[in-house]
Amino acid sequence: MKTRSILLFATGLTVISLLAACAVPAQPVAPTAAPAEPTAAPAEPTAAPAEPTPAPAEPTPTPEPAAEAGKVVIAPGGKIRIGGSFALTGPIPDPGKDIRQAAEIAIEDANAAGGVNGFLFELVAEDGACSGDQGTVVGNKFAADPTIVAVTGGTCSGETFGLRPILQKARIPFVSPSATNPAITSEDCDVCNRVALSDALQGEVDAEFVFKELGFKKVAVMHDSSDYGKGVAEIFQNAFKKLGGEVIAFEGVKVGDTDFRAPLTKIGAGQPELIFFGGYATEAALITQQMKEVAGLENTKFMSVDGAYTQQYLDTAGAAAEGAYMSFVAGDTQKDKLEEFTKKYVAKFGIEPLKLGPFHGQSYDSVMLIVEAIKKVAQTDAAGNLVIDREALIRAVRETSGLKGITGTLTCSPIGECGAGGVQVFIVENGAFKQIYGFGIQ
Amino acid sequence: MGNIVSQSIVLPDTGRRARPMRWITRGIGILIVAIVLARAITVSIAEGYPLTFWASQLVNGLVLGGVYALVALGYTLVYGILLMINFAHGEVMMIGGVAGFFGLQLAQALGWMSGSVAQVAIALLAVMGIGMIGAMLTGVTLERIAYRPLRNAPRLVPLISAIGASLFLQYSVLLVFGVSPLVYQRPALISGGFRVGPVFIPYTGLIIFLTSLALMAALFIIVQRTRLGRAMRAVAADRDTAALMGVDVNQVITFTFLLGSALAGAAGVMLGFHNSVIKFNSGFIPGLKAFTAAVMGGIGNIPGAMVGALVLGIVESIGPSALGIPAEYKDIIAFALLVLVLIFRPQGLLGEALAEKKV
Amino acid sequence: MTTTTQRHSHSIRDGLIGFGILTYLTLIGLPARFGEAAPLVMAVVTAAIIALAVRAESRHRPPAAVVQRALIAGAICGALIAALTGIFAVLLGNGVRIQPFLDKITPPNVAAWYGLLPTAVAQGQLAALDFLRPFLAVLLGGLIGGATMVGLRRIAARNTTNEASAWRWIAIGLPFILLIAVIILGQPTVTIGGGNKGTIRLLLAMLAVSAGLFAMRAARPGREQVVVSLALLAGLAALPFLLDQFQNSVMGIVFIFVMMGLGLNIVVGYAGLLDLGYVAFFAIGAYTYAFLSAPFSSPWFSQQLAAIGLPNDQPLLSFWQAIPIVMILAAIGGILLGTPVLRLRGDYLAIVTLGFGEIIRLFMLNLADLTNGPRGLLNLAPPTLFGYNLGNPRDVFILALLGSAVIAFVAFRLERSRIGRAWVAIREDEDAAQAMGIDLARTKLMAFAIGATFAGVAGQLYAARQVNIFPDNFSLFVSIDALALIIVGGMGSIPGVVLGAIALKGLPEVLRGVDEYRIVLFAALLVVMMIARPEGLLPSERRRMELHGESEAEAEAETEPAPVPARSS
Repeated sequence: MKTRSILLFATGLTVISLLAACAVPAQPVAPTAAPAEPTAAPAEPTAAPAEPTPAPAEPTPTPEPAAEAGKVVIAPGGKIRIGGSFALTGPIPDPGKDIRQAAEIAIEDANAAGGVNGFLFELVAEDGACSGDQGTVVGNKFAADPTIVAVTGGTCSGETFGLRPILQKARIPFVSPSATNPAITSEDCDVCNRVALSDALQGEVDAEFVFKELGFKKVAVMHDSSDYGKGVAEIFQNAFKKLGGEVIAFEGVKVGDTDFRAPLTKIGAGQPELIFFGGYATEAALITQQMKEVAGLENTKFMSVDGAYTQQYLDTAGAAAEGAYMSFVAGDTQKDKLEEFTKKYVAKFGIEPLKLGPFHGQSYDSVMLIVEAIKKVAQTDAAGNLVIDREALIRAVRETSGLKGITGTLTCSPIGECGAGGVQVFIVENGAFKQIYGFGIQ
Repeated sequence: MGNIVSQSIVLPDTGRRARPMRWITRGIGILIVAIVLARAITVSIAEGYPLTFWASQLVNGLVLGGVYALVALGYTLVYGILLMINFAHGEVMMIGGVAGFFGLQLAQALGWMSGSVAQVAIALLAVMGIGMIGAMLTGVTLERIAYRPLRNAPRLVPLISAIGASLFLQYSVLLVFGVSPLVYQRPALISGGFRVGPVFIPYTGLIIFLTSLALMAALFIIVQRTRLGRAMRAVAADRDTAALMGVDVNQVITFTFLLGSALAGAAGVMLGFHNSVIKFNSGFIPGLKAFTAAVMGGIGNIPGAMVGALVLGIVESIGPSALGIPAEYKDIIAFALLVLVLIFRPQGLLGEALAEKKV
Repeated sequence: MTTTTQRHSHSIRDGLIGFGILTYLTLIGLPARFGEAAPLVMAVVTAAIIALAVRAESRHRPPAAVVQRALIAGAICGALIAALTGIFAVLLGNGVRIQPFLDKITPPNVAAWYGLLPTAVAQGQLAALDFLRPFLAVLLGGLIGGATMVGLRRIAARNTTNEASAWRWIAIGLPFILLIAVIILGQPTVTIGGGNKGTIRLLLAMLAVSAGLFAMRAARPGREQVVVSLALLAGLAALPFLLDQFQNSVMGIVFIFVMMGLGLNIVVGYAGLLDLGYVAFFAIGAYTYAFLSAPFSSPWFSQQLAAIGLPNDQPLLSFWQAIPIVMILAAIGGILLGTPVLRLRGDYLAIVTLGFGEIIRLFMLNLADLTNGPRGLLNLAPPTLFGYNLGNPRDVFILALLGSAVIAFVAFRLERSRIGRAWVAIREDEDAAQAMGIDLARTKLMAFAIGATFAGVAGQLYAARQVNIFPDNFSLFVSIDALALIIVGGMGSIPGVVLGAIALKGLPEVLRGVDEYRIVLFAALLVVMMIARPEGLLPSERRRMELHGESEAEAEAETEPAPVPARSS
C-alpha cells in the first residue's frame, strides 16, 4: 500500500513535471516586467525588526504606480533600494562586516545630502558568506525583487561570480568594493563593475618595488590558497621572475591556519631576502611573528598586500611588524573625506574601520558611485513617482568619470574597472604604516 | 543502542573473494609506502637539507602534535565512554582560549604580567586555570543540553546535535566577542626561546609539549588508578551493568566531559600564547585534526591518542619537505597517512580490537 | 514527594537557566534589535522559558504551587538580569568602553532593556527607578509563563476527546491551504510583510511541500491515498511556476540536496556505512561536467585538447550527453574510494571517508593546471533542451525535481530488491550477514557506487546551476549538510530526505531575515530538532517500528524531563 503510493508519487511526478517542462518554453525571467511594489518600509532605515516579531502590517495604501518594462518606479514615500552582498559569515567575516558598515555610512550620507528628488536610499544587506553558493542565492533574491535598483558587492570573488550571471540577466548593475579576480569584469558583462583594483596591477608593482627599489634578488612567495591570495601571489611570482629575480619557494597555507612554522622552516632553508604573502591580515601577522623564530629567516623582510593592510595586522603582529612592507591599492586618497568618514564610522559603530578590514573606503565609494549614477538617470513622472530606467542606469554607472571618492578620483573603464589611482607601498614604522613608494609619491 | 553489548563471535572468513581483495589492498598499501620512502630519500639527497633543518621541523611537528594531543585526548575519552564523536570538542578548546584571553586581560590590568618571575608564572597558571574552567563549563553544559537527552537515541543523532552545537558555539563567539581575533600578548617570561645548536625551540612550544605529556600521564593515572577512573572504565565497558553495580552513570559521564574539556581548555590557552590569536573558527581545524589523530591512534585509547597526535604533527611538518612538494599538500599527506594506517591496522595504531565490538 | 526545599531549589535552577539564556541574548545584541519593544520581547522570552521549565511539574502539581514556582524563578532571573544590565549601564555611563571585549554591549543595546534612549545610558542619566524596569519585565514574564502553562494544562485536560479523523482531514488539507496562501501572497497587490514578503512566501512554499509529505502519511491507504497523492503531485508540479526567481533558486538547491541526500541515504541509511566524505562524489560530478562543458577554463585540459586537434573553445558535450559520463566516473570514484575502506567499521570509516573528501577538495584546490585552483572553472554551459536555455532558477528547480523523482524511484526499488535487503542485513549485523552468505565486499561497493552515482548527477546539476565552480563549493560542510539532512529527516526514509533538505538548506535561507543571527539560530534549531525528534522528522516505517518500544519506555521515564531551553526567541 505504501509501496503503491510512493510509486505513484514518483511516476506521477515524472510525467507531470516533464509535461510542464515541455509545455512552457523556458524563457529567461523578464528583467523587470513585474510592477514595482511600493515598499512602504518603516521609517527606520536600519532597525528592521528581526524575524520573530510579527511583522506589522503596513497600513499605508500607496497607489500602485503604472508598471513599465525595464524601469523601476518608486511611489512617493518609497525608498530607492540598493542591494548589498557582504561576507558576514564564512571564513573572513571581519572585512565583510567592515564593508557592510561602510556601505551603511555611505547610504546615510547620501540621504543626508537629500537623496534624489526627495527620495531616500535604503541598503538591503544580504549575507553572501564569501561563497559562490550563497552569492547565487543572494543574486536571485535581488533579481526577484523588482525594487532593487543596483547592488554593491560581493565581498569575495567567488561570491561575486555567483552574482554575476544572474544580475547580468536581470539587468541590475553591481559594483564590487573588494573582488579582485581579474575575470570579474569582462567585455561581455555590462553590469559588472568594481572599485577594487584587479590583482594584476598590484602583483606587478610589488614585484618591481622589491626587485628595483629594495634590490632583492631571492624571494619566497606564500599565499593563503584563497582565490584572492593565490591570485596576487602568482602574479607577483611571474612578474618577479620576469624581472630576473629568483623565487625559491611558492608555498600555500590555509585561511584560518595559525601555525606556520613548518612551511617557514622549509622556506628558511633557502634563506630568501624577502617573503611575499598574498592573503589577509591575521595570517600575515602570524607569519610575520613566527618568521622571527625560524632559522634562516632572521634578517628576511616581509611583504604583504592590501588584504593585510589593516590595523588588525599591526595589533596582532605587534613589535614583529616593524619593517614589514605592505602594498595597498588606492589613489589620491581624499584625506579630509577619509577623516570625516572615519569619525562617523566610529561614532556609529564604536570601532575604527581599519581594525576590521581594509576595504571600507572602496565600499563607501562603490555605494557613492551607484548613488551618483542613480541621480543622473532618475526622473520624476507626472504622478510624482521616481522612475529609474535600468539600461540607462547600467550605462550611467559605466560612464562614471571624475567622481571624487574616499579612495580617489573614480573613472570607470569601458569594461568596468572603476578603481582609482594605483599601488602604494608602505613600511611599518613605530607601529604605523608610512608610505614609501608608489602612487602619490613625488 | 543501549542494549547490552554482545561480544561478537569472530567468524571465519567465509567470503572467498574477500581474502584476495585484502591482499590486493595490502599490496597497494605496501607499494605506496615504498614509493613514498623512495621519493623521500631521493628528495632529501637532492635538496641536501642539513640535519638541523630536520631537527627544526621535528620540533615544529612535536609542538603541533602536542596541541593535537590535548584535544585528541578529550575526543578519545568521550568516545571511550559514550561511543560518540563529540564534534564540538574543538570549539570547547576555542572557548577555553577565549576565556583564557579574558583571564590574561585581567592579569595584565592587575599588573601581574610584568612582575617577578614567580608572579608571572603564577599569573600564567591562573590564566590557564580560567581557560580550563571556561572550557569545563562549556563542555558540561554541552553534555547536559545537547547530548544527555539523546543518550538512547540512534548513534548518529548525537553526532548531528554535536555539529549543531559546534556551529552554535562558533557563531556565538563571533556575535558576542566581535569579528576581530583576540590577540594574546605574550609576557616576556615565555616569549622567545632558546637554541640547542642552531635549532630554535620556542618556550611556548616546549611548554605545550611538556604539558601535553604531563597531562596525558595524569589522565592515564586517573583512568587506570582511581575510583572514578574505574567507574569510567566500567561505564565504557557496559553502561547498563555498571549502573546495576551502583555506578552513577550520569556523574561519570559529567566527569568525563569535565576532564576532556579541561584538557581542551588548557590546549586553547597554550595555543593562544603559542600562536597569538584565537578567533571563532580557531577550534575547527585543530578539532578535525585531533579527531583524525585519535582515530589513527585507536579511538578510545589514551596513549593511542597521544601517539596518533604526535605522528600526525610530525608528518604534517616534515612531510612536505621530505617529499619535496608545496606545503599546501600537508593535509593530503595527513589524511593519506590515516588511510594507510587504517588499511594495515583497522583498529588504529594502539587500538584494541574495538572494531570487532558491535556498537 | 518533593519537599519545599527541593521545590525552591528547582525554582532557583529555573531562574538561573533563565538568567543564562537572557544574558546570552543580551550579549548577542538582541535587545537593541527590538528597540523600544525590547522589555516586552524579553518578558515573552522569559515566559516561554519558565513555561517550558514548569511543563512537567504542571502535570501533577496544584496550580498555585506551579505559579509560585514560576514567580520565584522569575524573581531570581529578573533580579540577576537587572543587576547585570545595571552594571553594564553604570560602566557605560561612566565612559567605559566594553565593546572591544563584548562586541554587542553598546548603549543602544543596554538602553533597550530599560526602554530608554541610548543617550540616557551613554551619559549616565539613569534614575534609580529605571533599574527596576528589567526586573519587573522579567518577573511578569515568568509569572505569565507559569500561568499560561497551568492554563494550557487545564484546557488540555478538558479536551481529551479523541478527534483523530478531524486531525487527519486537517493534515490532508493543510498543504493545499498553504499552497493557496502561496498563490495569494504571489499577487502583486498583496503586500503583507513588506520587504520580507518573498521570504515569507518561500517559507510557506516549503511548509506546503513538508505538509504534503505528512498528508501522504495521514491519508488512508487505498483510493484516498491515491487521490491525495495525485492532488499533491499536481500542486508540486505547479510550484515552480508559482514561485519567483529567488524562491525557485532556493527550492532548486534544496532539491539538488534531495538528490544527493537520496544517494547518501543508500550508503548510510540502508547499508549503515557512515560516510563523511560524500562531497567527493558531488565534486567529481561537478568537475567532470565542468571539464566537459568548459574545457577552455582548464589550462592543462585545453592544451591537451588542442594537442589532439579538438576544439577547446566550446563545450565538448551537452548537459544531457554528459550525464552518462558523469555517472560512470562517479561510480568509479565510489568504487575506488570504497575499496580501501571495506574492512573499516563505524567511526573509523567516517574519518577515513572524511579524509577522502578533503583530499579530493585539496587536489582541486592545488592542482591549478588542471582545475584552475582557487580561481575555479568559469562559464560552464547551462542545460539546454531543444534550444531553450534551462539555466534559470525555475528550470533548474524543475530539473532537480525530475532528478529527485527518478532517483527516489530507483532508491525505492533498490530498497526492496535483493541488494537492498543485503544492505539492511549488513547494517544490522555485518558478521551475521556474512555468515548468511552475503558477499560483503560486493554489497558494500554497490552501495558506494550507487550512492556516488546519484551524488555525481546532483553535482553536475549543481555545476550547471552555478555556472562558475570553485573548490570552496565542495568543502566538508557539504558532506555534513548531506549527512545531517538524512538524519534530521529520518534515516532510511525517502520522504524524510525531502523534509531534511528543506530543514537544512531551506531554513537558513528563510532565516536570512534575521541577518547575522541566522547561523546561530539555525544551529540551535538543529540541536532542538534532534532532541525533540531523535528518530527524525519523518522516519521510515521500519525505523519507527524499531524505535517504538524504546520511545514508549522513554515517555514513561519522562517524569522529570530536561528543560529544553528556548535559546532562540
